[in-house]
Amino acid sequence: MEAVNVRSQIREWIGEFNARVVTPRARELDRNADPEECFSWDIVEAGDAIGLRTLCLSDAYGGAGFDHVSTAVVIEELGRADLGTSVVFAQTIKISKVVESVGTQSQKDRILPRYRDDPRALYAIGITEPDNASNYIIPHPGAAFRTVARRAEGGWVLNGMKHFISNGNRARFYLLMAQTEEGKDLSEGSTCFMIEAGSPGFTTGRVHDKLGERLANNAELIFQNCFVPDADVLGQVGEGFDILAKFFPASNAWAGASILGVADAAYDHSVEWTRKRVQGGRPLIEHDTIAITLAEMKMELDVARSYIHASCAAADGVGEWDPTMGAFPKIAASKAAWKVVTQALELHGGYGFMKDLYMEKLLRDAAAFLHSDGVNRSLYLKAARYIRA
Amino acid sequence: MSAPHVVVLLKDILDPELPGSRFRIDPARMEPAQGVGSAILGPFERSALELALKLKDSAGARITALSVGDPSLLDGLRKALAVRVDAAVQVGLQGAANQPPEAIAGLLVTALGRLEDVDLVLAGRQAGDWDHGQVPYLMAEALGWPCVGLVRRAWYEGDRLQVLHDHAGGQRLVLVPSPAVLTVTNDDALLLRMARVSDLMAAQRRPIERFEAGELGSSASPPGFTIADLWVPARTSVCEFIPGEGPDEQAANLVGRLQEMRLL
Repeated sequence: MEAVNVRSQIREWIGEFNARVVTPRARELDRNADPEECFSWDIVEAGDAIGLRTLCLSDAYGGAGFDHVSTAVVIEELGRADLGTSVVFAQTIKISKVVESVGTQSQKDRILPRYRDDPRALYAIGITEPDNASNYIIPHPGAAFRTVARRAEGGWVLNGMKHFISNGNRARFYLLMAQTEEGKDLSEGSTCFMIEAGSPGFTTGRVHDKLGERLANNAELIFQNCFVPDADVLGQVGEGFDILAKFFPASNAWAGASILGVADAAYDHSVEWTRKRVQGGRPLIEHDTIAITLAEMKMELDVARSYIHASCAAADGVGEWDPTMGAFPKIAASKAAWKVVTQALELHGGYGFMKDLYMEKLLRDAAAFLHSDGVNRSLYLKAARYIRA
Repeated sequence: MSAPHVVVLLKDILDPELPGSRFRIDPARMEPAQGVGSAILGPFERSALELALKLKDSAGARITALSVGDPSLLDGLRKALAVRVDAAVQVGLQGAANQPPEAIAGLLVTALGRLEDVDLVLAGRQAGDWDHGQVPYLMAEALGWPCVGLVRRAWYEGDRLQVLHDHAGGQRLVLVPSPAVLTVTNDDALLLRMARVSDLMAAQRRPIERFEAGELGSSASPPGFTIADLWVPARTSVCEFIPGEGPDEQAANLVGRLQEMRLL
C-alpha cells in the first residue's frame, strides 16, 4: 500500500483523537494558572488506549513498530490540536524507543513490559541543568555535568539536579545523564542511567510555569544520594553521549513535527478566517495581498514538513543521512512556525489580539521551540562544525 | 446459542464537512465532481458498525462488513477491519453512487447468499449523501425477513434479540426473531470506537473478499428515472436592521416586519 495513503489514514486517525479528546479540553486546561492543573491524565490514558505510548516499540513490547516518518505524522497532527499534548507523547515515544534500541535484553525485559502495561507510564530524559544547556548541544571543553555519579558498591550514587525537564514531574521512567568521569567534559565523561520515579534519593522539584506548551509539565529533578545499580546503566559507562547521539536525530525531527502542528493550526484558522471576514467589499482571501500571504505560509509549512520527512526517512535508512539533519529540521520548523503564526496573527487583525480567540494560545505555543530541543543558534553552530570538518 | 453472524452494511460518502466553496457538480455525469474531497464512512454506518461491535463484545458475534461501491473505495471497509470486524466483503460496481436503491438492495441480497448463514443485518438508517433510507427495507422485503428501524440498542438474551428503537415519538422495546434487518440511528452510546494503531496498520494488510456485480448474477439495472438536472442551490443573504428606540420598539417593529413577510 502506498506510503502516502498510510499517512493520510494516520492523519485522519489522529484527527479523530484530537476532535474527541484533545481539542475539547486544550484551551480550558491551558488557561489554568497552576501549571500542574494544565496537565491531563485523561488525555494520556485516552492516547494509551489507541496505542500512542508504544507507537515505536516492537510487537514484542506491545508496540506498532512505527517508522520515523509515520511517527512524525502522528506528532505533527497531535500538535495541530495542542503542542503540550504532542510533546508529552513525543518525549515518551522517543525515549522508550531509545531504551529498546540500546538496552540489553535483560534491561528491556525488566522495564518495557511494565512500561507497556501501565496506561500512565511516561518517559522523561534529564539532560538540561541550570549551568548546562547549549553546552551539550555544542560540547565545550571543561563543561561537565553538575549532576555527578560516584562509584559505590554495586552501582552509583547520584547527586545534583536537572531543570526544564519535559514530563519531569509526570514520568514513571527516566533516562538521566550524569558525570561519571572527572576532568572530562560532558561529551566524554558522562553516563546514561535508567531511573524510576519514587527511587530513594530522587525527587521532583518545581514545576515550571511556562509561557506556552502548558499541557506538558516541565519540572526540576533532584538527586540526593540516589543509588542506581550497575544493571541500570544504559549503554557503557562514560559513553552516555553515544546514547544521546541515538536520541538526537529523531528528537530533532520530531520536535520540528510538534511545532509544525501549531503552525498548521494557525494556517488552517487563517484560511477559514479570511474566507469569512469581509472587508473592502469582499472576503479577505480575495484580496491579492492576503492570498499571497496565505500562499507564503503554506509554502513555509510544506518546506518544513518535507525537511522533517526527509530526515526521518534517512533515519529509517531511506536516502542518505547527513549529520546536519540532527539540527536543521527543528530549526526550519520552529522558524517557519513563528513566521506563520505571527502572519496568522496579523491576518486576524484586532480579533486575533483578543484573548478569547485561539490566536493567543497559538502565539504562546509557537515561541516554545525557538529554544526547546536546542536553542536555534546553538543548533546552527553544531551544524557548522560538521560543515567545517 | 452459537455465535450469531452479523453483517453490517457500509457506504463511503463524500465528506459532508467538505467546505461548500469546494463542492462542484459534474454536469455531464450528474453527480458530485470527482476529486473535490475525500470519501469517508457514512455517519449512520458508523453507528451500525459500533452496534455490531457491541454484539461481538457481549454475544461473541462474528461480524462481516459488506459494501457495494466503486472498487477503489475501500476506506470504510479498512476502517471496519481496523476496529476488528472478522471479515470484509466488497461488491465492486462502477458508478454505484448513481444506482437506485432497488439495484443496490438486489446486489446486497445476492451477496448475502454467498456468505455463511447470516443471523442479522445492520444498516445505517439512511446514507449520509442522498438520505434515501430505502435499501434495508427493500432487502428485508426481498429476503422475507422482519425489519426494525431507528434502532438505538440491541442485545441477545439467550437466543432472543432484544431491540430498543424509536417509535411514535418515544422508544419501544421489541423482541426480534432471527434472521432480521435493523436500521441503526445515531446515539451517544453508538460513537464508533477508535482503532488501536496496531490494528489500524494491520487492517491495511488484511484481505478484503471481492465480488464483481456482474459475477453475482445481478447487474446494475437502469434506473427507473433519469436525472434531468442537478445543481447547488444559490444562496443569497440580506441583512436588514430593524429600527427602534430601545428593545421594546425594536421588538414591536420586528413583529410587524415578520407579519409583513408572512412569517408570523
